Amino acid sequence: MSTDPDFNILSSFLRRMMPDVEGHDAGDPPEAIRTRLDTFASGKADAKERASLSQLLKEHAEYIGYLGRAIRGRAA
Amino acid sequence: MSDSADKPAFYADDFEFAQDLLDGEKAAWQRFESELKPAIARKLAGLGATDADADEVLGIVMEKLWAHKKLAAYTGAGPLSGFVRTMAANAWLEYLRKHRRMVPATNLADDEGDDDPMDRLARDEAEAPQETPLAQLLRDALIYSLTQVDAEALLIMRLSLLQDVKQRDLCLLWGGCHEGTISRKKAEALEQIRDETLAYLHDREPTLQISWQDLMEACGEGADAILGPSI
Repeated sequence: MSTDPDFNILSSFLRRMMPDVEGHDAGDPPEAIRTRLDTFASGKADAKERASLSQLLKEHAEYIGYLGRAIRGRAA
Repeated sequence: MSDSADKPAFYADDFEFAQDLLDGEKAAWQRFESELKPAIARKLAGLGATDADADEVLGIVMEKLWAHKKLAAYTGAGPLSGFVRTMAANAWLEYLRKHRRMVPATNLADDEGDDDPMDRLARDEAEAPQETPLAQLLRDALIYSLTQVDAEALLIMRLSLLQDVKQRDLCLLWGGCHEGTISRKKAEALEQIRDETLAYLHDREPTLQISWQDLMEACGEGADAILGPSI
């Protein structure tokens, strides 16, 4: 099974069918969550916090865009 | 991802073929008979249709394409063969559901109560669940599967594939792990999505014999193809 193309197909499909599930960016998250995401983006989150944030982002995929930008911004 | 780069954005030959069919050109019809009809039949057979079922569903597909003007809505955004095969899968699912709901005529003459059998049939129809097109079913299955996937693996996959976060940056975020760990997490997430999606589909539609490849094809054809183009 080829991971990347398959997931891209599925996520594109879901974006078309249900924008809130994949890729819909709701803008900046609330401040408390932003702080946690920024800490995560800086590589300072421990395993417990990573697990907790992963669960949060599973339920709120709309915050992933912010996290992605924060990570790319630091990496640049 | 290189696959998608190789695919044309507009299937000009297929679009022209569709226009010729709509214009009723004899050569196009002959090509339809020799190429697309067998492709539809193979698709239906792959989905578990008997020859008799396939004949009936093929008739439904033909009606959709011409009488309901679905072919006129084909834009050339994907291959025409994929467009009609997905329409066939959609029609097959609708057919299965309709078939399951049918009330045999002999059952209408039973002595259950004094009410009119036609009233009963109308009531049954009104109470029947809404027909859900294939796209809705796939969407529901995928949404369900995402709820079952390990949260960290899913996040890694989303960051990597949807947010273009580099593998080495993910390694740093995940405590300096090896790149192989990240790759393995992504593969595990997709395997979970696949298994849970297929299990959901099997549970909801046991007669729909859909494979992962079918599902990828259906999801990849584009919203118009999978939903049935609007008219």
